Amino acid sequence: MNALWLYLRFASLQLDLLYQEAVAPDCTGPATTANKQQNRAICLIDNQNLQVCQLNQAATEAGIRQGHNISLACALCAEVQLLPYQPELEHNQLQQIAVLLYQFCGDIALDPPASLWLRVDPVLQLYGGFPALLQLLRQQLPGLQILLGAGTTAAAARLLAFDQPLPLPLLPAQAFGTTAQHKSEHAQPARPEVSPELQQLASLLQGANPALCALAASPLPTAVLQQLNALGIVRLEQLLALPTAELGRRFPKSLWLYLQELTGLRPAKLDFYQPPELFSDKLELLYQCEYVAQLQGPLTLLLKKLQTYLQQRAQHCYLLQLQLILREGEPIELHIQSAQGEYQHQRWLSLCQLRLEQLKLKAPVIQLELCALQSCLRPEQALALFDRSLGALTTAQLQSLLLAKFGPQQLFQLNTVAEHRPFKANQCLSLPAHSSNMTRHYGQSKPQPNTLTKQHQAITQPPLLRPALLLTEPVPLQAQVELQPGIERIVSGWWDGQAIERDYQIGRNAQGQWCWLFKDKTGWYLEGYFA
Amino acid sequence: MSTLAMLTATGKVWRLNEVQPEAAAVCTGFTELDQALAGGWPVHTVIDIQSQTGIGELRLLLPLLQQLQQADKMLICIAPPAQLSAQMLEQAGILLSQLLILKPQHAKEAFWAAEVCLKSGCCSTVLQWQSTLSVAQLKRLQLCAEQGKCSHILLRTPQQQLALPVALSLRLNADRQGLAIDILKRRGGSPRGRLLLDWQRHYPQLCLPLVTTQRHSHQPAATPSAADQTAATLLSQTA
Repeated sequence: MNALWLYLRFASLQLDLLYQEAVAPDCTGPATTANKQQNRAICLIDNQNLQVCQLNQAATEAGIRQGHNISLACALCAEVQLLPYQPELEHNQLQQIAVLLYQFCGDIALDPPASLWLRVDPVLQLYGGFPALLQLLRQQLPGLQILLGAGTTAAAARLLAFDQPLPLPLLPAQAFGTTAQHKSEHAQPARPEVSPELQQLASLLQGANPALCALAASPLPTAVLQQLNALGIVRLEQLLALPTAELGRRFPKSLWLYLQELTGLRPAKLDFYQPPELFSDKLELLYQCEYVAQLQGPLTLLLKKLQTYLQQRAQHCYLLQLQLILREGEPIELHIQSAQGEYQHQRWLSLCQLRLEQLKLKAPVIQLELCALQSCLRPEQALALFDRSLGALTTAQLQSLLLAKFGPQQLFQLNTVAEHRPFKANQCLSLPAHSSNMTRHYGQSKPQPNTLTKQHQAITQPPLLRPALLLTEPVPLQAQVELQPGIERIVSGWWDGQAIERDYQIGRNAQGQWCWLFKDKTGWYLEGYFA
Repeated sequence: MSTLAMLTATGKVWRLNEVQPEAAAVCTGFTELDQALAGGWPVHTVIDIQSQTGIGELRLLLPLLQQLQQADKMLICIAPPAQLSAQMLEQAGILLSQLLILKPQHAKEAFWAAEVCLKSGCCSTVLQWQSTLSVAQLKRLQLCAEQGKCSHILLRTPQQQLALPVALSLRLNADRQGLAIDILKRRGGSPRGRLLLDWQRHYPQLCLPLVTTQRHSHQPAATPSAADQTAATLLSQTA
């Protein structure tokens, strides 16, 4: 079977995606907003030559064409909205499209700023033919204007797409039917019902002959094109009729290489797309957010993308890096972690919100950047079918929730050490902030068997009575106490510079509180309470 | 007297509507208190304990905390008045790996944390030191505790506030012999008066020898000698 390459040109990528992201998180129907947007003329202006490079339907109806300058566009339509064309943004959007299409087709090569190749012949059988594949493309990229070209080589597909582009028809109005179809598409890839429009398009695409194309549409250098033009060679067939040896002598090597690629004698040099190892995404905000609460909508959108990414790979993520890029000043970088690993956007959103609540914005946020730092394969979890109360968390989830809200400075765990000095024996440790797998860590942090106290317990019956509440620093004893008989002398620590020589006693003060007191060379001190 | 009435009176036959649902209760570890509370501490609910700090309020709760702990369930302490001693908790059989201590900066945050922990379903007990709580807040905590099957113990300084919507409300007073407990409110039972919990058996070092002349005759003579014995063993010199 011959190779089949499909070349997709996104004629107005930035314009088509302009409102999509803003609309998505809103509860209001996207259709109404889209209508509003359609009623308004929008043009994207190329900063290089200050000409209109992308325009929407309303602008076309007003008489604006590509290549008009700003003043002409404004003269034709007074209400036209002019926006700068951003090639980097468009390139970024192209990457996003590649991420999306990679699920359906493995061979993708990008042709920046706004085009890409798909090698479709290996997947045709899977989707049930070329028309069905075209339908799938339309469903996956709704609302985008796509110009197509198909050929047996990548270069031929590109040439056709530039010379005789065939637009991929937009989805018919019954949007609900198509979304339902799209869902069932996963289960049953081969669907026979393809509109006749698409079938016609498919046969047109496959029947197109690159030989009839004008050479002006090819990516050849301008100097070569001028040379060819001077010889009266305008179409590809004229060029192909010439002997190759003659061409090699009279024209630079680039032409010869191009012809080889075009005819399939030499494989095309393409950089095939590889999906990124880490999830990383940016979102440009359409308005400046001064309040943290306003970030929820855009953040949900990013987290949903993360969820899709993780779901497709059966992964979950432990640590997210969220960067808020401010209008002025340093960007704010937040690390949000989950001890258990999450992929669902609702869980991440609640963790993010806890962190964002504590934040004070010095300047409005203009961009969000989300990066999943630690993600790994999600282990299969066996959940009990009936014994789960609604909204139940696991201990690790609860810990990450508390950690997100309070931070490691306010969360502690206790530990004991085999030591005689009370301030060494009782340890209060703050929760580790950046350990990816806390559950395992905690499982191991069980206190060591306290051999020393065990020996003591063997000698002295009952075990040494210890106070429940310890003061951080012993304070000099102020009040009068009634002492209990019995002294515990602790003389220890001469080896590490924190030597103590204390006689501990239990006493009761006038309020009835049981105090843990000690006497050393400097006097009486209160160290804790027997609560 | 009919046979049925006789059987009913002896408790061999009973009517279904007389049976109160078996309220889950956990043994307090102190016989007198078990009797007063009709079985023990109520679980999955809010227990209000009004006490001064340092008179033995935690020691009263230790058997409860120890019994409630389960695998994969946490014990959360919110805003303790001082550092909790790891040694003492370990001696009481509490797993330190399941203990988490939270020191929030505001009462509002502490309430948020209590609510989240209670609701989470992965905590056995939440111990909270907080003096000011409104009735509405307590009701919410109560609902959360039921939802998450978790006990909430509220430790506060003695209050004048009346009739809080809690299952059990105790006021602890320091006593030379141990603890004097006033049962202020008990759901499903009438509050009893003051109960004296003698700690001679449990914590002999935290009891003062009886000096009051009237009571001295009631106390067995063995007490001072036992105290002397413990004092002698306690005098241990360490390296």
